[in-house]
Amino acid sequence: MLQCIDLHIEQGDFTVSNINFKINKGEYVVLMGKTGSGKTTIIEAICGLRKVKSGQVLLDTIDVTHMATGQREIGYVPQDGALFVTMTVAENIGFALKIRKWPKDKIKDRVQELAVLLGIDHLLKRGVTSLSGGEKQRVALGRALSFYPEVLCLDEPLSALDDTTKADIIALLQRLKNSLDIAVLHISHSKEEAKKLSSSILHL
Amino acid sequence: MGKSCIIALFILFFLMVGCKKKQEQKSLLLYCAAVVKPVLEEVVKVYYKETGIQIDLQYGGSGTLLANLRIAKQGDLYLSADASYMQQAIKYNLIKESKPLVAITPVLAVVVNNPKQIKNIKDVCTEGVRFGIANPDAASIGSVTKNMLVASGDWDTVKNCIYVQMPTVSDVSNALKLKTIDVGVIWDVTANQYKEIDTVKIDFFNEFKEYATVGVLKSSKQEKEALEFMSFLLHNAKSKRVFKKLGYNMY
Amino acid sequence: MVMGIVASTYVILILAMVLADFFYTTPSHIFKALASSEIQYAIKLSLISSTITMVLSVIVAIPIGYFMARYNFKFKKIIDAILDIPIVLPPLVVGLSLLLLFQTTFGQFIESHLRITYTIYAVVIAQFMVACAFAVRTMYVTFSQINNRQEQVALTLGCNQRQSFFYILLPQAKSGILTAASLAWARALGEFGPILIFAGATRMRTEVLPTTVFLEMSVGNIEAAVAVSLIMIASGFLVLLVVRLYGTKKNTI
Repeated sequence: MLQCIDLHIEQGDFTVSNINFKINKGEYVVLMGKTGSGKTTIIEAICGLRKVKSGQVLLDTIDVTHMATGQREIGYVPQDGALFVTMTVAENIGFALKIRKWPKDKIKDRVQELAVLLGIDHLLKRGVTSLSGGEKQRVALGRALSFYPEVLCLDEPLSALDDTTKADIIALLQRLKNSLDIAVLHISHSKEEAKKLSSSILHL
Repeated sequence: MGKSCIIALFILFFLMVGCKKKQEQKSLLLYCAAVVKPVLEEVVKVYYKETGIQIDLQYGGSGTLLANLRIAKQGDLYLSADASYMQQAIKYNLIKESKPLVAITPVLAVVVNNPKQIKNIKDVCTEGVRFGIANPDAASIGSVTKNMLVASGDWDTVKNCIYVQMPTVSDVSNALKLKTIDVGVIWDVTANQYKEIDTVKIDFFNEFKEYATVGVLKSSKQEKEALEFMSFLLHNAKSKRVFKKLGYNMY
Repeated sequence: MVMGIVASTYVILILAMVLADFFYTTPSHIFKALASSEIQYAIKLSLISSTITMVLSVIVAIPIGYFMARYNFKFKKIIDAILDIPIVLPPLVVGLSLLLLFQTTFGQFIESHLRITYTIYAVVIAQFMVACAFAVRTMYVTFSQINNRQEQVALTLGCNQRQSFFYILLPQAKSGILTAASLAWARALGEFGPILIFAGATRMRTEVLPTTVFLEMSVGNIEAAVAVSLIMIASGFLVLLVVRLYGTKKNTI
């Protein structure tokens, strides 16, 4: 469960305030708002990439508002993917597990499992710079899901994709939504996306 | 933007040419050994007042300067710290005419008041004493130092005690002034310029009295002016007064 | 068109300079130079000291470049300007300043444990002071140009700052590090002014290759000076070329 209580973020002249919402396990919430309304800022604050002025972010019952980014255990897929360019697809997906000092064979199994789930098992040995947009999003998803997070944050995961790929990824996200029992926060500015994916819609 | 850049460049060029003009209004280039730098600076000022001719001085070790003028084949006069470099220059067919100018004698120089109690040449090998000389290849005083010590039979011991070699006599003197060395071999006339430097009397050093020698270069395009300056330097009463004031003994 | 002429003039000028050296010498001069024990010592000292300087410079430049590129703090602009001082200063001033530094109480304390002035340590310090400034500048630019998104994602995946630096940023900066290293090495190899003042020109002790060129010229041995110059040009060019090739190869994979 992810909950934001009276979240207030200041960043230079820009402020986002009075953010209150709750996403239960198994729920898929799409957060909608115009460009510049602070959607990305909220997601970054939740993930711990931005300082929160006041208010709280709760994961289940734990207050993570001022917890170090790395300890929050939130899966994060940024808008641009931001894949690790010096690593292969497999290394990208397994990175969080390597940091958690998992044994090598366990990492390999988990990476393989995710790759099959995401339909990218044939790409594992490839570098990431030559991947297509859709493939990149799949890798980014795999990387964010690898360590079994309770919460997944997606920042406009479909905005840079062409229509066919977009449909593929939407189908994939629908599949994930049904098979994984986690809380998902998905940022979007497209009503169509929101309709197809969300269990509820928030407007900013 | 591009246009203004080009204009600015053009103006800068113009200014530079202006600088060059100023330099070229009757000036002579003199390659000057470091040992006679203090006195030459004064004489050049006097000469400029007298005649309006600017003498540009380029300083360095005698050897370094000789190499420069061999390659560049430019300039009007060469002033070497000792006759041997002038002999080399003559051998390379660079010199029109040369004359000895001032007597200079090597001395064992120490930091003022001689805190390390250096009495003779063997003392430079004492533990904790830093002995500096001019590089035998670069400077006249360096090669004289080596020749003296070879002649006295001390070189083989002393050469292992050399803490540092430097390019010119001025560098050795500056090191003594900064106390980065304790003892060095420099010219007496250079030692006279520094109140921070005392000298230790070493008898056999006096046998190696040298004469700083001035010569007009064949490459000079203003031979008449160069010869005039040389004669001013050697014979003019005002020039002699400067030499005397700064403690140089003329030839 | 005009730009092409300007660009090619400069390249031609560089090549012409090197060619002029070539025409002044013969292979026999170069072999004779290589046979001299003084020059062998100078080559050895130059290569070793430049390499030490390179390693030190990179070790120092990476953290400085990282803090300058990734953090904002008070007086950052001033620190930025201070970091450029060694680049701006004339070589003689660097040498003199070092000489004076080691005459202060602090400097004398160090000297009382390890003699620095006029020793080979002075050679490395003189090289390092200038070369490191170039390495710092290079690393600063390198890190600034790398977007920090990947590091941020790494943080959400469970990294701390140190891990995200070593696993994510540093591998991306690889070619920048190579450039910084080669630049530092090349600077160190060519360093002369500060060494002459701070380390002296003692043959077989503190004589590096530029000192050799200077000393050989002083004895009128211009042929040897040119031969040594060519050795320096060749080794410098080789190192830079290898780094360029290696650096780009890694990048395109």
